[in-house]
Amino acid sequence: MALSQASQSIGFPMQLPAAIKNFSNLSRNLVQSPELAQLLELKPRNIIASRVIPEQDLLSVVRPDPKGFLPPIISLAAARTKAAVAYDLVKPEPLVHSQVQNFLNSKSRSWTRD
Amino acid sequence: MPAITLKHYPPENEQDFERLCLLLLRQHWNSPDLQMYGRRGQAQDGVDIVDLGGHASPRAAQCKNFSPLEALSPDDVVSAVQEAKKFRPALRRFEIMTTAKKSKNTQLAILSINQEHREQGLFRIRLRTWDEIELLLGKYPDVSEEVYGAGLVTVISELKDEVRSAKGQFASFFRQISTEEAESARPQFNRVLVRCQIKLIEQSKGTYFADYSMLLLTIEELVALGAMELALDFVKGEFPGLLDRLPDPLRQRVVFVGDAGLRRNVEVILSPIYEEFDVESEHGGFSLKFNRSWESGTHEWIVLIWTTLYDFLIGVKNHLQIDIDIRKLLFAVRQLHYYSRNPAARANLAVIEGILRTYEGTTVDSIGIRSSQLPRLLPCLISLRV
Repeated sequence: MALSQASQSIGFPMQLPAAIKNFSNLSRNLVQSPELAQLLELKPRNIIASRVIPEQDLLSVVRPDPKGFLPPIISLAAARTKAAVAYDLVKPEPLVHSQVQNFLNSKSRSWTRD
Repeated sequence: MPAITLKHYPPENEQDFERLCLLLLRQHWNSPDLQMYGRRGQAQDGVDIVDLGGHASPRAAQCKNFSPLEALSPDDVVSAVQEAKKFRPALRRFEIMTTAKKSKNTQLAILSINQEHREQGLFRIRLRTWDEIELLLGKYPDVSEEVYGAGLVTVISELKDEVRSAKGQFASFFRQISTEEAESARPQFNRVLVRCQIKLIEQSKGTYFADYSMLLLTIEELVALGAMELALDFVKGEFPGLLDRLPDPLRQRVVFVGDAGLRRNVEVILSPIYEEFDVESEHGGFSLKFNRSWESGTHEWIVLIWTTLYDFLIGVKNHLQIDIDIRKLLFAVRQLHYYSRNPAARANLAVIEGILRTYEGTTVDSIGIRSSQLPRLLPCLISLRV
């Protein structure tokens, strides 16, 4: 199993223990390869994922199969912070909802950046 | 301590900054008994973090999340110290941690206060500005990892591309990797529901519209972190010009998962809670109207559940990784469950809590670059904006 498959399996509670084991093994193999041993090292990483299939009706509104996927939780904080810094530097043209755009087009209005 | 200090960006909000300070001070003071002091809205005597280890004179800290371009003023320090003097038992050491930059005037103010305090037998103050906090992040990589976590194997796949364009500088490392492993090395961010900061811009006096252009930059940053597929919670065409403004390599990774039906499902699940707390859902589930005032925090808890439950369900339906604060969500669900008297509302909250409780933090052995190798690789990493 490749790293990507192991990573994707983390969203399936039934496969989680095996996915973590596979992921760790594959990472270890890669790190221990003679060519990469000096460059890479094994690092423990924290993830948040479901280990149990909840026997709940609530999810049936979106997922009829109760043995399916539960979204792993990640943090995009670093990307969002970098994007905010870039926004101040780049000052991109506003991107607005189509209804707002139609309104602006009809009035030939312009923007004033806050 | 790594050979070089990596650049970190200050957290976006006060709560995240306080959490970062707590984790760093626990390590730096070697004090597992450090805790956040009180909760929002309670009088805190200027103390955000305090050592509950039972010392006669505890150590404490205050966190000030300012713009990194600003400097903390001497007045800010004086007022923080005045507040901290009220704390009982009297403090031994008081640290002001801030995202602001250093200034000579503030340092002189601290020197003067410390001289005065020494004469009076009061606590010692220490100011730790963002540049010093970054040094601590370098010293305690576990904290950096926990707060900033950069993706499981992001670096390896990005580095692979960079190596190719670096005229074979490191190519020998990667020639030896089997094709399957090299091609399939995927980052933590495989298929992500993208959420971005929305800016308000003024169209005319007093009229504001939501500007989503930060979305373009967030997509760019996520791709730089190795995200393979970026799910946008819109219908295609909802934001004219969005795709045109994305260069090809970014556009190819975007998928649209907007789902009005799912928003209605959220309304169905939350309707008993809305009824209990006299909330009206408006504009097709895009806004909430609170008709009554409730206990402190109730509005925030409902809004948090309303927004994150939608993200959760869209993640379930489209097999996405999502960015939600599960601790805050669980807390909000439990609080509402406590205050709720409507059986249907209580039942739905119990079900949501049951699902959230199946989540656990766990550790995976993953790949990282040795810190001793960073100086060699830094030019590559910088060009990749890792």
